[in-house]
Amino acid sequence: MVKYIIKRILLLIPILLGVSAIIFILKTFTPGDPARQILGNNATQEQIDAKRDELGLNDPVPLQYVRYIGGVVTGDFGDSYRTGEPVLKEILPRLGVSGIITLGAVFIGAVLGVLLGILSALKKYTWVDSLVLVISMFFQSVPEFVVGLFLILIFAVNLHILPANGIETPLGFIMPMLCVGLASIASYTRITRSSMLEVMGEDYIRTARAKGQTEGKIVYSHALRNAIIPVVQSIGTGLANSIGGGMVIETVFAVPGVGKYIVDSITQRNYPSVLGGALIIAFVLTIINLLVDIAFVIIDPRLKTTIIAGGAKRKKAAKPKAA
Amino acid sequence: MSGNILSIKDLVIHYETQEEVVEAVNKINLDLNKGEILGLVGETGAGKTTTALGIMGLLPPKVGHVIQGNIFLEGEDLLKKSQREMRSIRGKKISMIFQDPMTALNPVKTVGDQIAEVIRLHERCSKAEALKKAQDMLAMVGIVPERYKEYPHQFSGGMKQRIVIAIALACEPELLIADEPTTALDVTIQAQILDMMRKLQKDKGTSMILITHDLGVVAEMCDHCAVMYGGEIVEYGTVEQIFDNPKHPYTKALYRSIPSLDQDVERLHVIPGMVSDPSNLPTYCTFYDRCEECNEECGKHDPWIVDIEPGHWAKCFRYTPEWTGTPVADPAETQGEGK
Amino acid sequence: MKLRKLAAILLSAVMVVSMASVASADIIGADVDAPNTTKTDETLVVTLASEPSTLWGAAAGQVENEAEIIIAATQDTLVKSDKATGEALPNLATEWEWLDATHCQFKLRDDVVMNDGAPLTADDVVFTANVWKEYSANNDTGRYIAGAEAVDEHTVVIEFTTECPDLVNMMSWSNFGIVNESGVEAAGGIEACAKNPIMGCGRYIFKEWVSGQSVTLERNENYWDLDYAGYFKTIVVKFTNDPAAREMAIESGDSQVAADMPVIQATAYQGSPNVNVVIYDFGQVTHLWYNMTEGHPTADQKVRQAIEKAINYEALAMVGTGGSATQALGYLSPSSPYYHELYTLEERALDIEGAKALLAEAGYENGLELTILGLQDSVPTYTVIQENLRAIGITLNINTPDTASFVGDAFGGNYDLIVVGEWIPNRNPSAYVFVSEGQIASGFVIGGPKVTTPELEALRQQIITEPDNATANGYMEELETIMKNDTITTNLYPELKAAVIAKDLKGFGTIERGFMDITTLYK
Repeated sequence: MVKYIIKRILLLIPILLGVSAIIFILKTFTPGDPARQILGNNATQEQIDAKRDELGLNDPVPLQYVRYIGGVVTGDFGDSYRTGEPVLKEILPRLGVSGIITLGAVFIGAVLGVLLGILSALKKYTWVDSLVLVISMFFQSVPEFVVGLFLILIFAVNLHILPANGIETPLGFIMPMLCVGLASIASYTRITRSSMLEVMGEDYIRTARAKGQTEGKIVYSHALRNAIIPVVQSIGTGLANSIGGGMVIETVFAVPGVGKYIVDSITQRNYPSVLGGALIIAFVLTIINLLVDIAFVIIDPRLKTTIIAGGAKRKKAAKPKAA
Repeated sequence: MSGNILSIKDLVIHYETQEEVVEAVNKINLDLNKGEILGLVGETGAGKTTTALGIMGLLPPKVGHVIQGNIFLEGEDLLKKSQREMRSIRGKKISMIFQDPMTALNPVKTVGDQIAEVIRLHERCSKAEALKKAQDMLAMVGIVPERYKEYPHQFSGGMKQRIVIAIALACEPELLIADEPTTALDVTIQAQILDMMRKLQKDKGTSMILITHDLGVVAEMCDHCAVMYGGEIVEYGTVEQIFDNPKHPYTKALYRSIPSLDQDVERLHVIPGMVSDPSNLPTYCTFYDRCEECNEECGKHDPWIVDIEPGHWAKCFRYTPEWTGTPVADPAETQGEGK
Repeated sequence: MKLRKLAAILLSAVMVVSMASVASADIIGADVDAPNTTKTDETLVVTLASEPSTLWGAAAGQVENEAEIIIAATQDTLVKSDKATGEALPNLATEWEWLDATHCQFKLRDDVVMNDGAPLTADDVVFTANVWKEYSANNDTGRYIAGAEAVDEHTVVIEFTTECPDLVNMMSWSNFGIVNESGVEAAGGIEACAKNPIMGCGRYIFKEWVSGQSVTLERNENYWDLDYAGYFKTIVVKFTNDPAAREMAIESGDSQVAADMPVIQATAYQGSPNVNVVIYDFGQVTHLWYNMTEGHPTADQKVRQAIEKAINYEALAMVGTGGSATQALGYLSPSSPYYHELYTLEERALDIEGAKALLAEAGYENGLELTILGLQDSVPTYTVIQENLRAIGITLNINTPDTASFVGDAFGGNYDLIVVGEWIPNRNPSAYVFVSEGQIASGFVIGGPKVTTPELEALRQQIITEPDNATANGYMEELETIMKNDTITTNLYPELKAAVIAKDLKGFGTIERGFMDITTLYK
């Protein structure tokens, strides 16, 4: 197990290098001169040239990249063009904020999604099933910021129970979480429903029924733990989506998170901040995916043997052959 | 018949979907004496498993319906029981062993937990006691009790079936329904499992319905035998009666399809044609289209039950006084024949 | 998809139900209410579109809208500007006098206390002027400052790099806030002041900046101007990019002011009972400029005249201001002290035939293709122009790159047509920048014709250096007439600014460029 985890961590290095290279190359091909961005529209050409030299923008791109990666390894993501502060210092507190929102959103999305998915599977082809489908599709189809404004309208404007924006109080986290979470319900519902339908048709469910087990206990104790495996698997992707959704939603709710930071930095052409933000998010995502995989092993005992035996990762383990 | 543990009367089960109605079990009558083993023989799709699920009250919800009939367990009609009452009967009074041990066990729960589950459901005991008993059960089926903490994937197929049997017998049921318990297993393991089942059945005096398509298994294990075809029981009798004196053309055909070492046969006997479509059963004899001994009358009416000897009957016109003989079969119909 | 449609209908139904109400918001102007006289312990929450990068623009060499709004509350300037006449009025300086063309001597008030408790002295002005000169050399804050010298404790002479009497008026802009050295040191030095601007002597004192969230200011209880009363003890400035979210924060009571709202969106909130919509003109008119350099068809005046005749100005004003303003008949808006109405409505009437004839004369009887450069948010107005020009056979391509590319293209003259406004609050050296010889040569003008004439440049110089306002105003009319006659630019409509404020708020005021004054609101 430890060996497996170490192997996965080592695998992160090429992934992150790839991500950073892609972002770096995209950055170099975007129009607009960062030096002018820093100095303002009235700077003279000499000043701009001097600044370009200072920033190393006149060097070949591969050299710039190597220099950047060198800095990243030592925790130096460069300084924000806008404020002159180290990017890492600006991002770290925001990472916490985004983390809370993303985790909250995934929690809300997964819990609601799984509950609705179970409901939908148990009441398949009834009006309950259709209603669940409509609700989950509603939140998936309507853009997150519209849902966001809609929530503000209900909870802040009409009910006055939550702040319209900002996170001065912990209550401020609720709507952004809800917003991103609701959007992800549909995928969890769908996965849970189909997985649940599949599992409820399995022989071991019939075995449990034959034991005289109650339907509720069968769902909870036998079906769910099996049905949840693909759901847990999808949480990794769900997190990535929620981070994406968070970017939009942080802007609507004026939440100082990494998403808003990156969005603002993009409009300000603040490249070190964009690069740093994207890299840190990529790093966090890969770590999360690793954690999800580990969680997966705990849920599905069949995997432990396959992984320790150095077998396939992240796939439903092949059913052992009969002796 | 007070010696009967199970008595099925005129049972009709349909599977109803939006597209079609499948007449899976058609007016069957069965009796099972206490402590005896009844073999239920037939091809896939004959309605054996449906009958078993009907007894268990585990027909697929919304789709499977008992249309008429009664299932008496010790004189009480199971079909009149509530869901709740059925739950207390399942696992306790009637247990069932399913065909495929590979999938019958929950992959994410330890085998000990899975055995203990049924014990805790039906017996007043603590979790620890249930686990202790689960270990005893494992020992009984020949598995090292210490392995109760392991997961199903850590056992071989035969071991898994032993565990399934341990679950089925944990609460000492009065009736055990074994649905092709050895089909999915290697031949060598099959014998072990059957021996063990036989032994446990004898020890506990459990009544049993053994569903199989293997006549050899029936000969070895059963007291009575019912041959099912197209949702009906076409022949019923003691094992000796059925084996020594098969009457129904289908039963006879089944015998001929058993490979035999002492006969020099180039090819196995194959019953021509397909099992009749249960969603579109004929109004005449269901076996008519494949029968080698039929005459015109068989294609006009549904045959009735004819007593052959005491306790032995068949559902075939051949044994009625009206029988006029078999015409020569046309070549097309005999094409599939082995000889 | 059926489901999407259903969802949309559901959503809009709920929206309508919650929004529709009996009463409706009023549209009010800025700088109209009487000043406040009472002080309370209440808190005002203002939401702006984005967070500034610094709270001392002069030392960061930047002029950011959001920063100026906050700085105007925390720092005071030597003079303030009369909104009606554009004249400089006493503020920290009680009087001033030009010693020669470039030296101006200011007499300072002797009762001003800086935030660190020290009195305001001439040395503070010298210190501040040096910061402007050194840190803002690239923009208007420092460009015209040559230095400063203290004469006595309350007398200071500022030397300017160019002759321009109205530079004194320019010093009413918030970036010219006066600070003292000891205050800056107490805040941790010049760079630290960008994040911790506790220095100055403004109506409010900086308290806290929670990065990404808010800036908190508190009323300056020792403010020198006893005629001013700040109603709110605390002002919290928050940053929310989405205009709708900013508006809803007011509806919910979390905030009282949403400044700098898109005008068209602001007018949409007229229906709400809990808010008032402030829409105001700050003197700037938006202009259609023609690239008059060689190689562009627009170098030919006949083409420019044809375009001018083909545009439906009322429709354009309607689209551009959400129906809140009508077309501009002068280079500046009627609210400007230097307004000259140079066009009649007859001149501005649609004349398709005349336009076609002019195009034919110019040799484009078969039509031509032109490109307009702009930003994405102005596309609706470009579409109107596009449609108007289609009628006379001109195919207009709309080029809307991202902001940085737009700036590059606008600097480089990579366009045939471009829409840019000009704000001329006083006769500062940047007035009529689009025809400024020096600015065009330097390459740092966003848009404009990219060429000028010695005649125009001479007039500009007269306007800037003329001490007498009335005479200068005559020169301005002369210059604008030349631009009209030569069809150098076409005036479109006054640019408006909008804000949404809570229903019970009064006293919405502005500083330069129509930025909101957060210190004058009261209930």
